[in-house]
Amino acid sequence: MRRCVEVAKTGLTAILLHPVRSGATCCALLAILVPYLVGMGVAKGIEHDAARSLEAGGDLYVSGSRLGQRIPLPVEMGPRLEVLEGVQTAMPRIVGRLSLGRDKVEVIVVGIPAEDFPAKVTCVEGRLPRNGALNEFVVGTELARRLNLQVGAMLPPFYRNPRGEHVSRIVGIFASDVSLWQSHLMFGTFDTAAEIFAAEGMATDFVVTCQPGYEVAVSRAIQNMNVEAAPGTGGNVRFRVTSREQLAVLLAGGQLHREGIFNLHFVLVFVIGILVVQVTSGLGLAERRREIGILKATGWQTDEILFRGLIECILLSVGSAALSILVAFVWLRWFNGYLIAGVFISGLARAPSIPVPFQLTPVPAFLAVTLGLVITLTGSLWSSWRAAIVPPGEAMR
Amino acid sequence: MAMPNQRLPRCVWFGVLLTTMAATVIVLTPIRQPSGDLDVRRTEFQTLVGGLGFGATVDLAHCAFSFDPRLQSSCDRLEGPLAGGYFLCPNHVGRAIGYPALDPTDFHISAAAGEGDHATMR
Repeated sequence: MRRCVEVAKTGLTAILLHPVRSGATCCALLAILVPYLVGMGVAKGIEHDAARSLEAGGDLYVSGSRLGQRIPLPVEMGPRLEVLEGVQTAMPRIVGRLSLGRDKVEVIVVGIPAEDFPAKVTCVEGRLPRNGALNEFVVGTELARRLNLQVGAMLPPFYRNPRGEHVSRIVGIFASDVSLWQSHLMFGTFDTAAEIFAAEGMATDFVVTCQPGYEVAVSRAIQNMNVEAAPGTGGNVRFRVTSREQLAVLLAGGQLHREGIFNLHFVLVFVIGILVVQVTSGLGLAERRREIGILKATGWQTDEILFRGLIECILLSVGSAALSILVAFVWLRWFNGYLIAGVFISGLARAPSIPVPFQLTPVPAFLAVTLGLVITLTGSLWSSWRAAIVPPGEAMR
Repeated sequence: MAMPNQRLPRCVWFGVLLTTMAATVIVLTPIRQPSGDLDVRRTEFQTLVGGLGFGATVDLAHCAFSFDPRLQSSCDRLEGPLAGGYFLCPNHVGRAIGYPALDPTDFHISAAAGEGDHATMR
């Protein structure tokens, strides 16, 4: 045992004996592990936010489709849904896309009936929109930044409506930390959103809340409703119902899918990593061979030499993984994922104006250590073994 | 058996130990747990908009599905039968989170004994 400890200590010494090789290996591992840890951390953060989106949302989401394409539904559907047994509320909602400004900034317009607004909210700096002569909106933080909007700012007409266009006023800005998905939002009343899209009397979907235990029965009833239940849609309409449970399953499945994506990335990085470490080891091969030759000449056995290399690799991989975790944490926490967050979250600016959600967890950290170890071992153990099995005289030559 | 010089500078030991301990603390401590007020605000926002946002994208530029599958049940650009067809949509290339397309027919109804209906995925 004492002998093993002594050999292990020389493994530690070997790291300092070759600082350039150790430093290059450490840098290569950092280049591989930091993006991996950042990506996994961001994925975990988004997962938390998505779970909240499900919890606070409706039980069922009802939309319509015709010829396989999604179509808006008439708002008259609302009362028809509300009379179904087990339905508590059926709120029409408009969610649409447009672009604003010279830079064509992407905007998500969301409209909810004003009577469904809570009396007071704390997630908005300013106040909630009202119906009136002016279109009123609460905007997301990224949108406000890109379009230089403050509370009280006016927007000239940016849409076409046969009934005429109105000036819009910004009455509030969402707090930056409430959600990732508020950043490009333009939130108004249902009537305002309908006017913007010139789609009066139509809704993108209905957010349905049910009495506990009635979700499936209500879903079945809605799916059995057919064209005569949807006046004004001008043809056959198929109702699509998406349930909260269905999305919860999707979220759990998404985790697996996410790992699939990361596995693909990691295969690429892994291949590059092995090449880098092999090159790094190869550069010091003559030196390593001489060193091993000297050790063999002084009585070291091949297994002791390999054990020494193993300790060296373990220390390098653990140290590099630990450093990677620190770098990932600092990058996400204090630099808010500058440059890198946009790689993992589509549509995010180079310097995100919202706090990037993240959580570093033990499993990716453990994987980082393991994979770092595999890479360093692949790079150095083979060359050590090749040098250790030749006669000392030849190795030292 | 002769041993090479085993003396390591203390600062190296200290640095490695400190880094490893700090990394351990980071991964074992839940970070960014929202405070009570923040938690309320976040829930308030989601309630206000009726539940919005699910994926790793912040706008509807390329595909609404990757923003929220409640808005679109699948991505228009996914070409599954093609090798690598999943990655034809820019919102699905290397993003932090991904999920399979939502098939409405997957929402089937099964009766569980004594509990009524349950929604499950096939």
